[in-house]
Amino acid sequence: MPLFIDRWPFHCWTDSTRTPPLSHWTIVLPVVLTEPMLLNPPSATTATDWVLDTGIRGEAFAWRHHLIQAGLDPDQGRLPLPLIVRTVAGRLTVPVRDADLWLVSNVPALRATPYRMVLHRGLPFHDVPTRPDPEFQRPLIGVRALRAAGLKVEIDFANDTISVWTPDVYVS
Amino acid sequence: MTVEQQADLGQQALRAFERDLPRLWAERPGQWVAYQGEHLLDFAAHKHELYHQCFAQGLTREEFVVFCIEPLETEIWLGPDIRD
Repeated sequence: MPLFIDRWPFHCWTDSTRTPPLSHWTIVLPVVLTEPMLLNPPSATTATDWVLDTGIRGEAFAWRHHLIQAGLDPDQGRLPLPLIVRTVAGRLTVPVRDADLWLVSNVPALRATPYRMVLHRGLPFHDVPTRPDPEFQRPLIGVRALRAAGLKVEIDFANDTISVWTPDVYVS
Repeated sequence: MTVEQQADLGQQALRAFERDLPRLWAERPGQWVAYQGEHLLDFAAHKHELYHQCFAQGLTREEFVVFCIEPLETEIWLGPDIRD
């Protein structure tokens, strides 16, 4: 399996409103969100950090803002079956928009050819007009999407990095 | 096509897919299928290919729905389930 993301650093931010300041770490992956029918990889320049969330039971989750940020109209391309999202705080019915994710490499030779991660059930999103909190409300990638893409992932908590290998043969 | 017509076509497509899913899952698991209302349009191994097959038939994106042939998921959990 070729190495596709080489020791990508965890995202770290420090809450300076606390005394002493409190740091938080999140495992993120550089991803481009696109329409589902692209024949060629998108430009890697629009990649944003998506949180790797092994607790999410679906493929992915985002906020309306993240679709707009990626140039997708949240009101178009919706799938006919909304999704119920359950959290410890309650339940919410959200729309699902068809879309694909593309993983962006930090290996120079692979930088221009993002790897497609097909969302089999589309992208459920929190359909609110407010801008999500940049630290607490990042878009999420779940285990189901990583499995479907056939990725190998190594999380290094000693050095706060994540590495990703893609399959020899495209699987999604 | 109005928003209402588009939503109606989508619901027809969903009902047709739910009806056909047991058979499709037995015959073509993991493939992709497109519906225009109740009418099954086409299959493909990859989602993006199926979109273009439908476009080649003269359809616009609003006129068809693409599903992956796998069990439907109607709810997900975000975070841990801490119910008793």
